[in-house]
Amino acid sequence: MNVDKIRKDFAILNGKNPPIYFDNACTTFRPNSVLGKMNEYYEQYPSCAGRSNHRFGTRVTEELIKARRTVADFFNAKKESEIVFTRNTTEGINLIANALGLKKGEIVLTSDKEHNSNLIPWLVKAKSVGIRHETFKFGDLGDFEKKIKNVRLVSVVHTSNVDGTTQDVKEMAKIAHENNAVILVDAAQSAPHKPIDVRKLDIDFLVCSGHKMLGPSGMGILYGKQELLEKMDYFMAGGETVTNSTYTSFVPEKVPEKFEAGLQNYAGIIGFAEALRYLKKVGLGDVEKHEHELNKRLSDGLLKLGVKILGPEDAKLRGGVAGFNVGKMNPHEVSLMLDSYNIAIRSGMHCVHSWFNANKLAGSARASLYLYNTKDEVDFFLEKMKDIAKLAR
Amino acid sequence: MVICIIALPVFALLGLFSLKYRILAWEAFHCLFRTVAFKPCNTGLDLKIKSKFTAKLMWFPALARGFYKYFAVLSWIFVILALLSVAGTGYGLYNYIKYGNCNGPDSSAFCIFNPTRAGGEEQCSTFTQKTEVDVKKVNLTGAVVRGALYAPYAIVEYGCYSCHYTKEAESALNQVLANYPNVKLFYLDVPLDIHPYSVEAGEAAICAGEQGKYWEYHDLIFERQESLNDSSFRAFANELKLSVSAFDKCLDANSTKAQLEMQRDNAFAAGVYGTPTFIIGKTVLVGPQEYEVLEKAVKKLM
Ligand SMILES: Cc1ncc(COP(=O)(O)O)c(C=O)c1O
Repeated sequence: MNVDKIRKDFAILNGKNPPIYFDNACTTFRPNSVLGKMNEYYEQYPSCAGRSNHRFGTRVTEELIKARRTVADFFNAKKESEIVFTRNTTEGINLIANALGLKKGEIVLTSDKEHNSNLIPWLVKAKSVGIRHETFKFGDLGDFEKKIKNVRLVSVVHTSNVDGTTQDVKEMAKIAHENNAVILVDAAQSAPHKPIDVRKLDIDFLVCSGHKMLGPSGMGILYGKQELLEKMDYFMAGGETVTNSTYTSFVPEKVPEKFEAGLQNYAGIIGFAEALRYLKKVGLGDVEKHEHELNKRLSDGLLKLGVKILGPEDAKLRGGVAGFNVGKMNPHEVSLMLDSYNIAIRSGMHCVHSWFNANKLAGSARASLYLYNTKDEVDFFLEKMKDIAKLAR
Repeated sequence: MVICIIALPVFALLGLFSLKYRILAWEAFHCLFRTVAFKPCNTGLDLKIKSKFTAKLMWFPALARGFYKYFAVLSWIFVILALLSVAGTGYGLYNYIKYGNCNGPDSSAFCIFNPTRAGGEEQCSTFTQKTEVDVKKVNLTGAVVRGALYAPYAIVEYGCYSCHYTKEAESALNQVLANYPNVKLFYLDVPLDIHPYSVEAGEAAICAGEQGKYWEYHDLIFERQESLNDSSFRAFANELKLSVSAFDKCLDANSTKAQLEMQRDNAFAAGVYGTPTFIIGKTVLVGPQEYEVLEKAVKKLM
């Protein structure tokens, strides 16, 4: 993997004084090819897919079919129709929460380290429908097995956005299925960084966001096994979700269109597919390896400065993420100071308030790496962190 | 955090012009609100200020560490200084409105608000350059006295009948004389050639004075200052029921002219360069004065 060459593909990294961007777990930069592909839609065939039969309409429809195929291939889905376009991970989870037909008393099991996007929908459903929401200790298969009895849906984060650790969702899927539960995997933080094969993992649903994997914002996907999707009710209904209607009745569309109400974010869909093509070309395996190398350098450097790292010290177990706290320093101060040196990291509770509250932590700083980050950037970061760490003494 | 006390009004003002500052003002508002409620402020505005400054100071680590560590104390000091300076500015503004000088009634120190009243020295003058008024050289020959002759304290005024600044100075001056019966006024007329009817009016006033009506005539000239013309002076004499023949004779007399010229020469010799000029003891005030300014100068004599 040639990082120098990759960096040339990102306009923002080729200006004067390019940023040191270590906030990739929040959102990533986009390569020129993605932006170009999106512009192409607006400039050459800005039209409706699947309804208008003029040449523009035909072209969008074609691009959409190609895009869905690209996504299906990327995750090794059996059929293209198993891919539903959404706005983001959050929408995907809400779709399942609302369309799966959860009933009063049914149990939804999540880990104890979920993003608000995979917690609040269940708390809302608990209030409105009366489902029960339970948690197991993140990554603890023993605890998971203990809690799995009578669970209708397991909804778990694959890779944590707080510390970068990954759970064994393959094993969880197996256990869930043995107990007649379905499993939804929040792959917002894993899909961008490691190859995912939904068939090998044998998971029922997977959601992720394009903006965390070189794609446009406002664009995500839901993967669902065909037979499960077909059994599901509407989430949002309207244009595109029916094949016919009278004043009193309608004929539902097939999946996945049934779940794609209204005119879609065509440029987003096309751009997202282009991002996946880009990642595929680079090779996610290489991306993962590159992140491990950088994260090891970064984590070792931080540990040497006496900085406390969230989760295991071994960088290999944390992908491209290093969550840390500098003594008793407010993590926001760390990120604000780094910003003065053109280094972008994240600080706070990272939308996982529940876990921080339960662990009585005020938050953390987080550096998260991606394919375009370099050793030099890590070294510069560590140099600045050395100064900052001195303040905490 | 306390720093937000200052940040809020500053950013609110800037926020009128830019969204960026409106957001910061909003953060400051939250931050201040929490400060007042004694909860830790977590909107980040104070953190932002603290962190950004610390980072800027990092080239000198000890300084950065000191700033970081004592940020709370420093921001209190800063806030107190800022509040003091706001209070000082307010006091200056008050002085400016009240006395026309932001430094107080009888200061000649530099004032940032370009003063137009006291010390502003608006005056009628034939000189382009100011001279130094020498109090010791004040010559009262020919001066007319207003108020009680036996009054122990005196204001000396150099005035000119066609100078509207002299006219402007009248009301505060007369108020002081009315409120302080132990103060009298020596008025010395300094006609300036550049002003039409300046000499004529001065002579006419002297001639009215011959018939015992100097001050009535003096007040009438100022009252009608804007509409003076060739026939004004005879008309005023009639109005005040003066003997017109005696009045005319006086006007024609060389001695009248000479008296006025002498007064003017004496004034210039004392360094007076414009009208009105007030000499109150050792205080020299040029230009129309507020009541309080004159009063303060008079009180200094007592
Ligand atoms: C683990 C995880 N789940 C869900 C989300 C929500 O993603 P989105 O905001 O794109 O819906 C995030 C984003 O930070 C995340 O990290």
